[in-house]
Amino acid sequence: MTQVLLDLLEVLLLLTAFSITTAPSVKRMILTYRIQSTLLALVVGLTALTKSEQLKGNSDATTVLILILLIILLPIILAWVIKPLLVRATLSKERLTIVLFAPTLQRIIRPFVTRSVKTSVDRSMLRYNEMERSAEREWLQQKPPGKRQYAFVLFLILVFIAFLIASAFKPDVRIGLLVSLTLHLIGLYNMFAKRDIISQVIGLLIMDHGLYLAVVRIVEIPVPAALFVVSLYFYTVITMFILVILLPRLRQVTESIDLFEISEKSNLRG
Amino acid sequence: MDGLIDILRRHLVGLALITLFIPLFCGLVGAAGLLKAWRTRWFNTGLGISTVVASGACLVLSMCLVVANPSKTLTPSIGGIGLLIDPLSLYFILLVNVIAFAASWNSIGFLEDISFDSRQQSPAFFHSLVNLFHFTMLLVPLVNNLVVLWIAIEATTLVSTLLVSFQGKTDSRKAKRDSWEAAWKYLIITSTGIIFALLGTMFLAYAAKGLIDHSVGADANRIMNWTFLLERSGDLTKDFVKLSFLFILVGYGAKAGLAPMHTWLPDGHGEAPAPISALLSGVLLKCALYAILRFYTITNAALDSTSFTSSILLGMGLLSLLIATPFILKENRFKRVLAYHSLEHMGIITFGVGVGGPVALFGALLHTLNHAVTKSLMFLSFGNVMRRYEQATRDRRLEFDQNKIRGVLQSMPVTGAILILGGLALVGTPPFNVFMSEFIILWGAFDDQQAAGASSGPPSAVPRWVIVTATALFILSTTLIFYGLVRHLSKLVLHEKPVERLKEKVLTDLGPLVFLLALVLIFGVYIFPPLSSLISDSVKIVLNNLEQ
Repeated sequence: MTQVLLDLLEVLLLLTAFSITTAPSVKRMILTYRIQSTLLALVVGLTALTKSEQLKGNSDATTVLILILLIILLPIILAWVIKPLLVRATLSKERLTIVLFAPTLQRIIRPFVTRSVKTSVDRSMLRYNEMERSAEREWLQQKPPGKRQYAFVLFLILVFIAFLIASAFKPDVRIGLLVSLTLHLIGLYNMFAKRDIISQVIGLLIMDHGLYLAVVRIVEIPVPAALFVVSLYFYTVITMFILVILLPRLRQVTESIDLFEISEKSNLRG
Repeated sequence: MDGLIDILRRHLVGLALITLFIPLFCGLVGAAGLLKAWRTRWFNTGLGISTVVASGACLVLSMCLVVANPSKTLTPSIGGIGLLIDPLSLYFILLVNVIAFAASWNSIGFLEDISFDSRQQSPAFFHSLVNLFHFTMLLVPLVNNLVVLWIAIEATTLVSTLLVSFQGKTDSRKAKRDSWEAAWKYLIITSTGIIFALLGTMFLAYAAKGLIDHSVGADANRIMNWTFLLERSGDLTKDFVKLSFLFILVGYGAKAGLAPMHTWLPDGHGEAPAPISALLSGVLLKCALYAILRFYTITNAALDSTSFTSSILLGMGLLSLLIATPFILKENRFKRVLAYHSLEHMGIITFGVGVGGPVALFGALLHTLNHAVTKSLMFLSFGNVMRRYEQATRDRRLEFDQNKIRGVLQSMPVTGAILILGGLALVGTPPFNVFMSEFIILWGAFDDQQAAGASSGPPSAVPRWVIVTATALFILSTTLIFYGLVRHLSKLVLHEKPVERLKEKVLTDLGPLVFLLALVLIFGVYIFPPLSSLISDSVKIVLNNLEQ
């Protein structure tokens, strides 16, 4: 039963990837990405359940649970930070803490804090809302580039390529690997075929999801998965580096999120 | 002398660890310079000098390691992380330290000539990053675990991205834009590539799944160690090993700048400050190549044949050569031409590894050092030229354009002469070092005994006609590239009109260039016996026939 549910969720992961690629607006793209992150967290959680059943009474059971929890955290963190960080990167040099924590503080902590803290939280939230409104005007409602009519055919081709590779593996990991590889390929397509920076970043994040899924599905847990989990965290640091440092600076100097426009003015050709 | 070598051998692990931790220590000390209280001129000067001294000490220590080459594999462990010290890792440690020393030395002159306006663009920040970059590049050849190797390579990306975008205070919007755009491309392409390398490593872990079931205790923890996987290569699942190698080649190939994943290379190398371009081209590409070599050995051992890896590497090497050729022939900025030369030389090295066998592999490994030394010489020389010409045009309140640099031989005679010698060396003119290693690779390609796989290592099944055709294309493209670079170089150094004489500081400008030029000239005619034996032992490691 768990296995069927797991396979079903993995197929849903594929569909969300397709949906991200064909999203009618950047806002929808980010929303679908967040749904995908939640689905991935569920897949990882279900895998943990399956593993812990297998390892009942074994000394490795606790290690497996800790590792799985550490992996679950990654898509959740990315889903949480993606929108505020993109808003910050593309619009202002607002402090990171305000951008990341204002919405959370507003929703969760506000009822439990003193009046002075409340005022400060409300002020931060106002600033964040203002930023989001500007983002809404500037690019959140924009239509990401790319021809949607070919997207389904392309999606099928990518699934087929992933299937060719995954078919070499044992049946218990085949679907997981197929989904993971397709996520990689769709991420790659978003990065190199589309011309805006947001699509590139989302492409990279979809590839991250593929990577998390691959560790859970094909690497033996707990050994050597522990090391791979460290590498996943390291890779997430790189992703955060892109979102927090590189993207705001690039936007600041190029004044555009359109790669086509950037490369039109670029001297880095030939 | 023997007594000294014995002492060095006894302390080999300690020496290697000191070499590794010196730059880390300097990097952390340098980070203190980011604090406001420490942002002083004397601190920055002291930090610059200590960086040069530290990298010089690392170079001396790595030469000691070369002399003490144990001709076997040592696998010590610190803090649960397995280290790997064998001739191949010692060779790459030497390579990293030679270039790091020259680049740190040149950094002093580079930082003297630019001004700074923020904490992130200060000399302390630069020195700190250079040291940390040096540390991460030394970590790559020293780790035994293949996942840790991936982390070390990714760490080089993180640090070097900030260095690529480093430019000091500038009012030029174009310069800012170019350097951040280059950093963006560099990080996005190499990070995307490196995901595939991690997937490749996972596939290798899957191929070794059977080993976990049969392993007991400590074996389980060292399952991803290179030495363990090589020892048990016969038990790896062959199909997954092949798949792993393909993904590794795409992933680390992107980082090594191999075609068709090379597109970050001209931007990254072209926009970075000259000492960083020297480190990127001279060493960083080779770190990724080192990772490929480690996987190459495991794959060949698991498949018991080199035909799979050889044919792919031959193809990739040739493709890199062929793609580089038109970009070197066309009009382009000189730093970008040099970057495309890196693509060409990585192609040559990959071609040599693809040919396989002891002779071609010896040539390929020697070429990694020769290319590193020569390319760094060119980047540092041209970096000095650009700085001086930029200063001169700024003094005249004109806009600087590197395409308009002419008559370097008249304005900066010593640097101009070094550029000519370095350029001739780079295109493989005898009697310089690059000619020597290219010649050895070609010799390896036509060595009948090697082609038959009779000498050593697993047999190669690449057909003779493929080798001959590939070699013909190799010679054709290197000849065209020779013409291309000589044309660019002659435009740069010669000029019919008299030009203004510019300053050449002996210690900071010319010092590192003379050091590298000396190596270019010496390696063209003579390879020191300890170095030669280190490369021979490294070849045996790659071919998996070093007797322990």
